[in-house]
Amino acid sequence: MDLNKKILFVFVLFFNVFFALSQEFFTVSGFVEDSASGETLIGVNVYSNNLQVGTTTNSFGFFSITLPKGEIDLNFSFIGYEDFIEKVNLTTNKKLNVELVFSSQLMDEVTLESKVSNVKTTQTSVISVPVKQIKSIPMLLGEVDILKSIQLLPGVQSGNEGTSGFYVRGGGPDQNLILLDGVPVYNSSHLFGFFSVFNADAIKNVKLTKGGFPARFGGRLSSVLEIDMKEGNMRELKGEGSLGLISSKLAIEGPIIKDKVSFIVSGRRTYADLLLNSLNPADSGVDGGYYFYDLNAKLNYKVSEKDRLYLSGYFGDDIFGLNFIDNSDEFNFGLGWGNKTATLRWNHLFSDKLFSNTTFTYSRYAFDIDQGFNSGDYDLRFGYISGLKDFGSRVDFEFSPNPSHSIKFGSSYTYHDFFPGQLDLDFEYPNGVSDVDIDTVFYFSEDLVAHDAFFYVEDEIKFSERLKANFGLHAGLFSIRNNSYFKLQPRFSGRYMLDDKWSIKCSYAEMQQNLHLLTNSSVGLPTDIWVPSTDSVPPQQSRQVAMSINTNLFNGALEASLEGYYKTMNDLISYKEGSSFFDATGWESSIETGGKGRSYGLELFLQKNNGKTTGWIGYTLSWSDRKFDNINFGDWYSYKYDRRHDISLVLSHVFSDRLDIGATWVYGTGNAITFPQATYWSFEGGPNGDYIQTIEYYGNRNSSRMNPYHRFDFGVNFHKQKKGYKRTWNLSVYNLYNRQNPFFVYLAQNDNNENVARQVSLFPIIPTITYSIKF
Amino acid sequence: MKKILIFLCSIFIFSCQEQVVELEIPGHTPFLVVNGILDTDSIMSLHVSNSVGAFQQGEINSISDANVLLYENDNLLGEMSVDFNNLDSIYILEQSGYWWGADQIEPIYYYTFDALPQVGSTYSIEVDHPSFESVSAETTVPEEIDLTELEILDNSDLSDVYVSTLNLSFFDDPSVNNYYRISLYVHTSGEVEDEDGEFESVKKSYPLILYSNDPSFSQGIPWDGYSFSGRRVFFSDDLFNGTQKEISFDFEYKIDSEMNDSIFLQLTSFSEEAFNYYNSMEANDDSFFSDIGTEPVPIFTNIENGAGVFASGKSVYFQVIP
Repeated sequence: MDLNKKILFVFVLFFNVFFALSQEFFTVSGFVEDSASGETLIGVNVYSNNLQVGTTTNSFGFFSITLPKGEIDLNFSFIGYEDFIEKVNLTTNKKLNVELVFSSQLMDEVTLESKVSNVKTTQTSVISVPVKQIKSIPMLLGEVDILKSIQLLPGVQSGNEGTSGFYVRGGGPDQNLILLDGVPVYNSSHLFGFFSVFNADAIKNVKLTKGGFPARFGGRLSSVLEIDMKEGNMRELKGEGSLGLISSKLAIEGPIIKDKVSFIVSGRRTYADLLLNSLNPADSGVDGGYYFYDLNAKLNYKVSEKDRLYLSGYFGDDIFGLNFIDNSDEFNFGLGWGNKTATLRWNHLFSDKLFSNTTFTYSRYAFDIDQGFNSGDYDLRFGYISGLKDFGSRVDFEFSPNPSHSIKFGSSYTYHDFFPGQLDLDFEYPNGVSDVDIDTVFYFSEDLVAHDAFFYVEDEIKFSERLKANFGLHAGLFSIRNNSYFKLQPRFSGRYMLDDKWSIKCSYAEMQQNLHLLTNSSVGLPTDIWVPSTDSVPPQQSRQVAMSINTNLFNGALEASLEGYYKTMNDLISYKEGSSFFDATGWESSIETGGKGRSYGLELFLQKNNGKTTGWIGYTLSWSDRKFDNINFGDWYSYKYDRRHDISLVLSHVFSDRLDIGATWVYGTGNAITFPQATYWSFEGGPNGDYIQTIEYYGNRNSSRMNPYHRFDFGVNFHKQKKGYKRTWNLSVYNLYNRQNPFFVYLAQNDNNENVARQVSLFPIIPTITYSIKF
Repeated sequence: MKKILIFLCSIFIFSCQEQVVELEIPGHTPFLVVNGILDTDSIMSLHVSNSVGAFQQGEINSISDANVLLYENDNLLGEMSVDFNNLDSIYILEQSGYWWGADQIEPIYYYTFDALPQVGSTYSIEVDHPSFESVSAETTVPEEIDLTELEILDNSDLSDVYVSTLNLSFFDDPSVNNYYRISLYVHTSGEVEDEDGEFESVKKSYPLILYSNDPSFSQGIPWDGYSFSGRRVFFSDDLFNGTQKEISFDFEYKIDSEMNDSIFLQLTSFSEEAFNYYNSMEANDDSFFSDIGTEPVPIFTNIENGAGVFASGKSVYFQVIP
């Protein structure tokens, strides 16, 4: 679509809107909150049965629906809460703040049929996972992990065993926009990827978009993961905490001024270092250890009926230190990495029809390495640091002029400051004859500053009871050095109701990603480096089409969807063969550019959100390939996470208020690997050409497969209401049938000098016990 | 760095398990491997061997009964043959080891043709053997480097290590893509112990470390204010095609004039195949020391239906010290 057509498209869109404005309509708007805590609820269905019109509350619990004059029934429903129905006689605009009551009774499945379900929404490729469901999934070492829960969804693949990185529809780990309260989080893992940085106790809502991206999103090719923090209880002081095998957590929330100002603070820390150091003899000459912590805090201030302020922050670090002292020799090593984010948000209601959210953000990610060796004779120290920081602002508007249109528009600006790699070296050798004193700094890349801005507009148009569509345009401008990249990115998603229970949907999205992650490994190391697009490294681009058929089964108790997608990617980057983050002449000369990617597949999703038994079954059949001119001799090759079959089964069952269980089973085709297929002799090498090297022949990159991955986890929770608090004992077993899943494989020789493939597995059966309280 | 990361990971890999498994890898049919890099100073020579599948039982052997036909500019020069009266043997080094770690010696058969390669000529080979699919390859011998200036500046201080700067200049042919290698070698003498425990004097060579800030050098390690340091440098004319190229190196050395030690400069002009081959070998070695999980680097080959390298180069040598 050329520029003129895109402008014409926007013009027609607005013409349609203002034509519709000439009719007589009134607006019902307000916030929906939890009656006990005052916490706003996201994604509440607001639906008029007689008009067959509905909407959902936004990320701030706000809804606005414009309806024709007359009497209507508005039904508010949300999973886990009792329905609320309000009769409204619309003769003027109306404010309606609603409090939903948490239901101790499980929802009656037969009442679900009329709600806004996945069948009726316009957007494709979106899945919300209730945090309650996430907490019921048994996890490695009992650590509830949001990202590992996301890995269980169709179209989302995990990386290596136990790690929290995720790969959406054949995309790379950098192609996921992870937003914590609207702030991008650049490294979402603790402990080399084994745990994610998100503490589930502080999280209210998790929503993943895999395709059909609305125009308000941009900057990543493959997915948007929105994680919203709780706002804090407006009514009373509450808390929860837990003692686990590797970490402890505590979250406190409550009102500062009742129904006016609230807070939540939640923290988590591992304590393996404390235990190990206490067991370590004082004269051992060795000390140090590893730990990570994270701290979430949020302040929520209802300034007035029309204004709300939110201030939130996240601070997390992984810290490893090691010191050896042996006589006069001293060696020390330190490695640290972490994120810091801060958000200030201001919600303002200009009118019943116009809602705005203004956000100011700060995000910083850095990793650093420090190493020193002092022998008494000489002193060698080096430090390496790499990272980036962002300062951003954004304003979003939501405008609901009439029942046929729901318009969103806004703009954003982010100032990026990259420091991709700097090594400080200090070497002193005072030998008295020819003293050596080197104190120098190597810049593997210069610091880079970039300006990243976009404007968007989208309109959800209801053409008829059956046909609804969302048209949008995202205009992005990225400027670095003296170079700018501008791109108009059209977005579309549409839904057609075949009948009350069946719908088909389709979507198209063009995306541009201005940042790249340089990674050589598959384990989410902190050495992965974020770098910007430059004059020699253009932004990544993608186009994705998706089509789905969706239905409700058993009166809405089950939602099912079958979705197909095809995605192409351009201008991908990769390290040159043999290069790594520690490479010589700057990252721009160490990478291949102009890479292409393609991925396609089918996703089947069957979900049950209500009743005593909840959970889902997801199945993905997919292909994902890459092509670079100078990799694999220019031929297409399988992406590392090309996974033909991926199955996940997630199940929770509540027996009573005192007992519930959770179980998951996952299966995935083995990861694609480059494995030696043969060996042969080289040309003569060495200083005098006096030896031959045995070379491994690999064939095409990633042409071999590790063995399939599968695992069954099971957990049981015993709850008991005590005086003033509720305690829970969780017993869970990871990898119940002790499957030895592949972590990596290598070529080796057995005792008979025969070549064999040896597989290293990480986690056997691991039982865990966790004690938690809620007050 | 890699060791430290492995150590960190190992803290948490408290219960790693290891087992022998069957893997789904593409089947391998053994192929012919041909290795030969022609030099205008030597008669044409190459060796032929076989590949062995990863899980196949068998050994890599030097093959002596292949039929090797040599062509010059598409004209048959003749058959390359093995001189069984002058058999040789060579050290075999396992993948990604250090050259001094080689301890296995295998016989090797060199196929030769008694003629010197000519600059600008294209040579091709066809290799047949009844047990393998036939292979072929070709290379064009590059022009010699046209060195126009060579200068040594002595920067030595009072220490016993000499520091010098080497400036050189040559003209790059604009009509073709050119590929170069530069090395500095110390020729010295040393003693080695023979099988009887006796020490004998032998001539030895070892390469010196070169330091430079030349932008054409994309490999090597930055060190102490230099963007490049390494024992040899491979580079192409991408950044200076068709111009007079000036290069400056700093280097440190220690020689014993009483032992007649000397330093030689080796300038090599390579064919594209040789450049790609050596570059992939360097990258393969580098990847061994990179991050965990780094993709292995396949070695470049231009042998159709087989593996190895058939390439050409032209080296010139200059004694720069004394």
